[in-house]
Amino acid sequence: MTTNDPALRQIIEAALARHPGPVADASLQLWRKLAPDLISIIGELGFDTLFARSVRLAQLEHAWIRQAGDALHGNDLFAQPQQSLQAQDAAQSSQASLLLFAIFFDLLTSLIGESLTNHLVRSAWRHEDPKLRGNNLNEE
Amino acid sequence: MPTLKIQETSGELVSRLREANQSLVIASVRAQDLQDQAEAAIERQKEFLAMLAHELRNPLAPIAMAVGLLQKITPAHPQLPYIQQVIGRQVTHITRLLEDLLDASRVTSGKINLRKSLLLLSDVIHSAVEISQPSFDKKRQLLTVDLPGTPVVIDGDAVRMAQVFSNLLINASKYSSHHQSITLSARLADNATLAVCVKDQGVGIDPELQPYVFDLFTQAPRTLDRSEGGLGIGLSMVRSLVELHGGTVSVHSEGLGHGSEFTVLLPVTGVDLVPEAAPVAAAQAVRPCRILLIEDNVDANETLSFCLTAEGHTVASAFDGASGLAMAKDGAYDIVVSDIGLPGMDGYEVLRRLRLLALSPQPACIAMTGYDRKPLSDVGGPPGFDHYLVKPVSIAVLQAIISTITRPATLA
Repeated sequence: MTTNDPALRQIIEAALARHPGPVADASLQLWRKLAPDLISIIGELGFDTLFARSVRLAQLEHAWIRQAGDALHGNDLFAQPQQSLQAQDAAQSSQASLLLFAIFFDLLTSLIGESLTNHLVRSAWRHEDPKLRGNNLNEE
Repeated sequence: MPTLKIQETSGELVSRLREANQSLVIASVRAQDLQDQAEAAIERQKEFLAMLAHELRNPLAPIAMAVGLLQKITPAHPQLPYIQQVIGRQVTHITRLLEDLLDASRVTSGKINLRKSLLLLSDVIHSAVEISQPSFDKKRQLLTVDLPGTPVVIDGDAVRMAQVFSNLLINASKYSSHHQSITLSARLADNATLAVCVKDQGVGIDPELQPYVFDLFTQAPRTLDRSEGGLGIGLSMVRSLVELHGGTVSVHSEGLGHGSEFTVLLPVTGVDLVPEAAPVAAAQAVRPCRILLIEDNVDANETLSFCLTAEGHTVASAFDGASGLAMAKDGAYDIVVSDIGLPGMDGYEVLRRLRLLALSPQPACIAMTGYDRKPLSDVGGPPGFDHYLVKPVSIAVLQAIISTITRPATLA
């Protein structure tokens, strides 16, 4: 499964690429930046539920990605998937991380639409890519 | 302060909207999870049905062979011919139901392979009528066939095309009363499309059910005595097979009590098909062979052994792979007939080790399996079995294969 929106896919790839070091760490930072903006709109439980389903779907292709327990949320939610990514080689973890973001954004798009999803992602990650900075966040 | 009040109200509103969004996200994801679970459960059921059909073939095989044997000893008792015919008919019926189940499984898993060739429509319809004729005879129904005056050629799988129209005809018969008429008519809708309609005066189809009649396991409400029978697979097969041939099928009924009309649209080819002269079947004398039979089902092993012995062959039996291989090592057999699912060492492993022995001459190897034919690439190295038979094995088919295996130097 890959995200249906090529622009979003580019944003994910660019954001991951900008972080030096292991993909697992970069992913964790990006999730942490994304969560507050989304939680302000869909609530903490809404975000946790969406993230948990994304992990379940990503597990269909990468069975080694571990899921956090039911009671965990916030940063703890990302701990198990991050550890799973750390245990893989760079290519595997990069592929899996990209897939997890793509699934998450596809689910989000199906709920709130492409435009708002794009806006939220660009807004949350505006410091990750110079192209995303500026007032008009919907333009490349 | 009015401004503060507005801010508080606005803050409350945002908070409530967030809660509402949260609830919607949770409900939506929960619905998606439930859908996943339901689809997985359906998948498991389909796999179970396919496995059930495969497994039921095993006990059916010796029963079918025993019926064949009964046929040969019918003079022993005046009631035997009747008993043999009853068992024979019921075995045929069960075999047909199992084939339907396996077809359903092939359709859902996309495992149907077509063997296409240029076919005359008249030949296809003739085969379909032949298959469905017993249904019409049983209910004394009248079938009228109206085909175009000029030959129509279609590019299709002869067996599957006949199955399409026989399924429609049997369906029409099934839902029509005794003595009612059924019509099969064909016409060229245009230069490239053939339209074949099967029309009956039967029970008709409720408008609410019509969109679903081609779905798997969908049937009209059943009578209490289940006299109509069936599994609700036939029309689903029709749709799948027609679509595999690049066509469509539709249904029209004015409602309950007003009969039904099924229309199949198929592409036709512009090619003229010159009928080939039927090859004269060379009468092949079946020479007695030495056969090693490896089959763990004792009933199936003994019954098949009886049948082959009755045909003049010398048969030795083994009931597991290791014993079979040990017996085969002597090189005393012209033919090895082996089940695939054997305890300990399966049929493929027996074959692999047998080939490594490099016996001279090599025995011909025939596989019997409750499963569909496995590709040779899965066998674990060439060469594979010389022939594959799916259970229940027809003695006539096995005998025909044996007759083609000629090993004059080793024959007794």
